[in-house]
This record gives sequence, C-alpha cells and structure tokens, in this order.
Amino acid sequence: MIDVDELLRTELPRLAHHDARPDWDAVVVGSGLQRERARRRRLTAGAALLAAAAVVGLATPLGAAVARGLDGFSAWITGQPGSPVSSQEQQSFDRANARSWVSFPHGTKLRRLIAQHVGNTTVELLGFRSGTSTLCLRLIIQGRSRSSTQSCAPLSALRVTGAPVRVFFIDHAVGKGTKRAWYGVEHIRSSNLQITAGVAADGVQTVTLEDEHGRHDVAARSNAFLYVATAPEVAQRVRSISAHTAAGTVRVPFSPSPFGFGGLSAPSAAAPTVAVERKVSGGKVGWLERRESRGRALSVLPRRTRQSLLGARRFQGRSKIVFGRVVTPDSTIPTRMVLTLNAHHVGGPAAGLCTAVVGPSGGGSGCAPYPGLFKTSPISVGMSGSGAGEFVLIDGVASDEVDHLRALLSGGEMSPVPLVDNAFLVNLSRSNLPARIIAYDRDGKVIGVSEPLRDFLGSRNAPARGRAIELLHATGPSGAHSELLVGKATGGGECSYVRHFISKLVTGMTVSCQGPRWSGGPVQLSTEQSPALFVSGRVRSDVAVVRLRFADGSTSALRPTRGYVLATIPARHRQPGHDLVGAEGLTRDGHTVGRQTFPRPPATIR
Amino acid sequence: MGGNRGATPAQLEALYRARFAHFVRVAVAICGDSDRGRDVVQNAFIAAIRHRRSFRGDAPLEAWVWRIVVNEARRASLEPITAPPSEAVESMNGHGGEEHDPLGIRGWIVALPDRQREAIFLRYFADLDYGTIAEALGIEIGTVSATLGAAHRSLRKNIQEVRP
Repeated sequence: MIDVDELLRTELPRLAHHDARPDWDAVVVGSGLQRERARRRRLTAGAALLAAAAVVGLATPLGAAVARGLDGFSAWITGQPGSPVSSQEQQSFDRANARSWVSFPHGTKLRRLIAQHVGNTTVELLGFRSGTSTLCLRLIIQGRSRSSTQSCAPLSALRVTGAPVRVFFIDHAVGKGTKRAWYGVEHIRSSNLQITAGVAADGVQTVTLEDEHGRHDVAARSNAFLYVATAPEVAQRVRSISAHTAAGTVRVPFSPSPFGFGGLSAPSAAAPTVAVERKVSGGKVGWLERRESRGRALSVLPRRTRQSLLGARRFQGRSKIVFGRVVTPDSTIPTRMVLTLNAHHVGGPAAGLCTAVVGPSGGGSGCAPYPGLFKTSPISVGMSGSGAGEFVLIDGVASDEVDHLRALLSGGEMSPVPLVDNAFLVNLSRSNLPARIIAYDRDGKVIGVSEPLRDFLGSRNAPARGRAIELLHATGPSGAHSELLVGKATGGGECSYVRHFISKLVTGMTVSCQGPRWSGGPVQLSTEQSPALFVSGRVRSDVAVVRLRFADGSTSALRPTRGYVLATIPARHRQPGHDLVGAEGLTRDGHTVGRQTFPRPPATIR
Repeated sequence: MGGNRGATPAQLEALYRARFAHFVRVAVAICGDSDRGRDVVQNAFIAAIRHRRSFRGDAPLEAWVWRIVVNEARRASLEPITAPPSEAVESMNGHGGEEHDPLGIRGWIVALPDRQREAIFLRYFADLDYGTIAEALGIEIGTVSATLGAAHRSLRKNIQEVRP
C-alpha cells in the first residue's frame, strides 16, 4: 500500500519551487498604508526616505529593482545612512584601498554609523556600499584593545531574511577579560568585550538582545545597531534578537556564535532542493586549458600568499603549476580566487585543478583531480567563515556547461550567485543555511545541485562547563604516559579526554563526547600510534571484562573503570607479529557482546 | 476570542514575512503561473491591509489571510495568460518537467477536482492543519478530512497503476 501522505510530503515540495522574494514595501504602498501613515505622522522622515527610494527606483532600472525588494532598507539603498567619516579617515581608507591588491571599488565612501565609549575603549561601527550590490560593516576598536574587522553581505541578502534587522557581527570577541572557566580540560578565559552589530531598516526604533546577562535594549541609529557586552562571562552568547518598530516587534533570524568545541548545535533541518533537469558530465574550464590571460597573473599575489597557498617557491618552469590566473568573481567584495591547473610533477601534463580563496587576511586552498572534478557535477563548492560572522563565504568553480548560478536558501528563496571566469563567490547568512548552490545551463535548466551547505555550529554533545577529572592513568617506557579524564557534556552525556605523552615531540589529545544514550558498538577502543603503546576508550555498561587479542594469538584481560579503559601495551606486544589486533567485550557471565579489530599498518612501515 | 477586533499592519507584516514562500507556492499551484502567483499574494495582502478592520478575530488571522489568497488565486486562474508564462512549467498546473515526476504526481493532482486539489496544496505546500484549511476553503473541518481522504484514494489508485 502506498503511503500517499508521505509521498506527497516528500514529492510535492520537490515539484514546485519558486523564486519567492517578499516585498512588503510594495504591499504597504499598494494598500495605501503608506499614505495613511504619512498623514498620521505628517510626513515623517521615514516616509521621506521611502519617497527617496522611489525616486531612485524611477531613475534607474537597477534602483527600481533594489527599491522594490529591500523592504524598508531605503537608507542603505540610497547609500546615505549615518554621516561621512572625516576627510582624513576617508583619505586613509582610499590610500589603503589603492595599495591593496584585493581592493574595494574605487570611490567607496565610508559612513560613520554609531560610536560607543566603553571605559577606555571606543567601538565604532562604520558602513559602506561596495559597488551596487554589496553592503559592508566595519568595526573599529580603539583603546585598551585595538583591532578592526569587517563583514560584507550582498544587498540581496537583506531581502531574503524577512526581518527589519540583519545581523553582521555576533559576539565578536575583543581583548582578554578577567573571568575564567573550565570546560573539560580547557581553562578558558573570557573576552574583554563582545560585540554584536548589524543594519536596521528605516522604521526600527530599538533592538533587544538577550544573553546570559539579561535583556539589553539598544537604540537603532543611522540604520544600524550596536551592542557591546562588557566583561562578558565565559561562553556568554546572544541567544535572541528582536526589532521594535512603531508597528510592532519582529524576531530577527541569526545564528548564535559557536563556543569552544560546540554545544550550540542547530536542529539539522533538511536542505531544500530542486531536481536536476539535464545531466552533464565531464566538463572543463576551457579558458584555463587554452591558457587565456583572464583576470590577473599569479605574480599579483603577495609572495607569502603565493608560497603558502600555491606551494610554489619559484615559477617559470620550476613549478608544478601548468597555468593559473587570479580572477575576481565579485568585484564588490575584497576577495579573489586563484585558479591553477597543476601537474603531478614539474613539466608534466595538467592533472589537477587547484583553487585558492584569498582575502586581505589570508585564505585557503585545495586541489582536485582534473577534469575528474566535473565527472559527476558541473560545480565544486566550498565554504569558509568565522563564528563571530553571521555571513559565510561560499566559493567554488563551475565547468563551462554552467551559464549561471543561484543559491537555494533554507526558506526556499533564491539568491543570485555571481559567476565570472568559471569561479564564484557569495556571502550567505548562516541563518539561511542549509542552502545549496544550483547550476543552470543556457536554457535555464538545472544541471547541478550542490550538497547541502550547513552551518558550522559544533556538535550537540560538547564539553560542558566544569573541569574534567582524571579517571585512569598509565605509564610506558622512557617517561611516556597517558591519562584519561572525564567531564560533563552539553547534551547531558559525558566527554572523555585521552592525553598521550609519548615523547617531547609526540603528544596529543583525543576528545570524545557522547550523549546520555549509548550509540555505536559495545567496544570502542583506539590506540595512539603504531606500534601501539597505549590502548584506551570506552565500553558499554554491560561489558565487565575487555579481552585484548594480539597477533601471536595471546590475550590479555582488562576491567573497565566506569566504562572506560586505559592500559599500557606490554613491550612484547609492541613487536611486529605480536601486536594488538583486536578486542572483545565480555559480560559478567562470560558472554561476548562486542568485538573490535584494530587496523594493521601497511607492511612497508612495519 | 470573538468580537470585531481587526488586524494590525504589524500582525499582517509578520505573517507575510513568516509565510511568504508558502503563500506563493499555493498561489502558483492554484493559478498556474509563477509571476501571477506572486502577484496574487501581493494583491491578497494589499486587500488584507485594506480590509484589516473587518477581521472578526473568530478564527486565526492566518486562516483569514489564506482565504483571501485562495480566492485571489482562484480569480487569477480564470484570467487568460497574455504573456508567455516564464516559469509556468514549474507550476503544478504546468506541462513541463514530467521527466522528474516519474509517478506522474503532477498530472494526477491536476486531474483532481478543484476542492481536492486546493486542499492538497494547502496541506502539503503550506503544511496547514485541517482547521485552517477549512477556514481557507470555507468548508467544515469534517469536509476537509473527507476531501483529503478522497484525494488520497484517487492518487493512490492512479499511482499504483503506473508504479513499476
């Protein structure tokens, strides 16, 4: 019997996807509510701004498109929130921008939005439009702690979140505080300040944030808000944000900043998807193969960046790089992509496509077999970001088959993704994840759907506040020793920490957190190296004895302590042919309830 | 609840922002065209704002708005499409994309009677409960149950016939 209810639940959403962008401004205007409000308020500044947006909209098609979609962010549309920075500050920015090889568009104008003094520290929030499609906020901290950071988001992101406030920074940590707290084996120090900031639509009066210190109302000024938490607790996090307008209160979507090993895991919602309408395989990046001089030469990269990202100390014949260029998928964000075709050996044919994402403060890179990279999908997608940033950077390469891209966000909305020279970069809000990148051909057919891009919040089971205690200790030769500690986990279970000190150069720690209910096999042991010196791990509560099995057929028995095992492997069993090969878990009455085998190292290194 | 209390623009705005995608999905499904479906939702909310004082409060606000959206979509579905329906192939009433619908669900739903089809859209596109569907379609809750039951039986029969 077919379960029609279940079938419809799964199949119908897949069959109908629409590019649904809310446009409340149009409703307000169309319904006459705007006139009604205007009469009531006798032409307040808010109405004037909407009118200004309408003028921009009428003046240019781009302006019209933006004004229709941004739901009240008209000050950001017209690009005039706050006040201009001093000419000295603007000139300083212009000079730095001109020097930088990853610059903002020429003519970018900084605006001062909010400044707040906290003790001897001044926190300034600046904002600016980069080109016509990107909005950036910059935090500048001066005083006891000096630092700056910035975050950019596409203007299109303002329209998809569906709230009159968009968070850019969330609990951005500044300086060192005086509070300390144990989380397992980590003695973590608090920050001096934690800053949360973002942009606000025209009608927003106040923004309320809640964290462990309570509720905090901050005024929306210059179409922005700034909340500075002073002397925050360790792990203090903003948990909710709401915006207040004359018409009511709206909850603001955002993702809390993760802490430590995690413990703030969001529910793993299913990512929306669309069906592939035409299958493609074996694509390529033609211009790279033809060695066309697109973008800029690799020599534009700073030397250190070039060496660290590309692993090439010298070019021109001495590198494995066959050909490469630096391209700019989106000129409004200060990030570039490096695409190179690489050989297995110097002088060899291209066998891999390497990409690097490079911004003002560094970047990351990776390689994949080429053209095998496009064997099953015409797009390859990566993601990077920091916990204090609400926006993550999505990057990737697309084969020549791809005409354009869109991001399919968690709420089903579509957001444009710039694609230039087969490379793409786009900032997505973490509150819009999980998302997917959708690739289309020239006919508008879907030819590629990425795997879900999920938020990087940590595991639900992470070390909870409280110091882990030592449960087991083992010693080996030449001062080697190992210790097993246990502590509480955020999900109500327990975390174990196994520290190994084999030598001055060989140390390590393994952290494993479990929920309150057992999962996995009854015997979960591991060794720290090969040949193994220590064996450690946990066993299910019904396992009374652990029997270690060695390659020569001998065995050794251990009794778990509170479900944990840590033991030194005898010297005779650290020799090839006598080493640890397996373990069994036995109940009190001698029944075997679980077995585990240990992978043996390859013969060449035995 | 009861009495003539009206709805506020803030309540309607919050509903609009929270459920916009769902409203559009259902509207597109009923009227058969993406662009028109979006207009339906915009027009429905414009109407809701204009007539917000007539909301009696004896049913959830969302149900009241759904009724407006459904009525607006029904009206739009009767109007001829004068321009090429750019994304009509994506809609439930469209004719494209059959290759991704091996069981032919799209076709079987289009073939359902209007009320059954609308109930299916509201149930599975908008995840509405029976009470809200009843308000939206202007029928009793028991009728919703019977309507969806009939739709399920019809779909089950048709899908079983084509299933390999």
